[in-house]
Amino acid sequence: MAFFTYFATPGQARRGSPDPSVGGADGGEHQAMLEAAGFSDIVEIDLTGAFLTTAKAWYDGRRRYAAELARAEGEASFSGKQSIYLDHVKSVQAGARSRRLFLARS
Amino acid sequence: MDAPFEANSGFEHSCDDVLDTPAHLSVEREVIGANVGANGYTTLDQAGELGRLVHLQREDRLLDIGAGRGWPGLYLAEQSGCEATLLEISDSDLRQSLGRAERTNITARCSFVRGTATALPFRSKSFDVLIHADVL
Repeated sequence: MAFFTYFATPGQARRGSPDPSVGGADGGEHQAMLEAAGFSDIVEIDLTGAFLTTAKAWYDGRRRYAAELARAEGEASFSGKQSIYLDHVKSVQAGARSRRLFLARS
Repeated sequence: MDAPFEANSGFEHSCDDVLDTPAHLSVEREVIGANVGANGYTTLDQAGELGRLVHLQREDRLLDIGAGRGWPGLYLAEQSGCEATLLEISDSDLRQSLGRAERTNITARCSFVRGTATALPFRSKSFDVLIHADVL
């Protein structure tokens, strides 16, 4: 099994986010859950730096095409998505959010 | 394993989604590295690395949970030759995935299932590899 996930960085207080995906288990909790479910050979690869790059690229790239994208998506949806990308950027820069790839064998 | 995960895949196609305007496609290509129906954080390079790390092979049965519009599950199926099942709660996203699979001629070894991770509609040991990418 393999999965990418982002979460509140371990040891950092969780806070409200416009992205409902944030707020689940932290990295240590993922390890524990996988072990409890019977998985072994668990590998954890930190992708937080790439996550920051990608989230920032979404935000900046979409901002360049703001008028066209807002027309297609609707203003509220466009703004909502931009809020999510910007929240990820700010949270990672503050050390409060991480993204990792987990690998495990059943 | 041979190295099937080449970045010059023929996988990418624009799709018919209303959100795939030229602007969307331009930004997606810049951010993800290709037009693959992605709006998340798994880049083309990361998808390839995922395929390598799980040693995905032609004989494998892959389950992508929360598959969205088929990224990266369909891409991994296309690149490895494996069978793939895409589990997704959104009918619209499943239709997009099916269209993408049709355009890459891999529908014969792909299944599209509406459902969620909390109630997997499969028998035990139905799959060799499970993946998901930033699923809520």
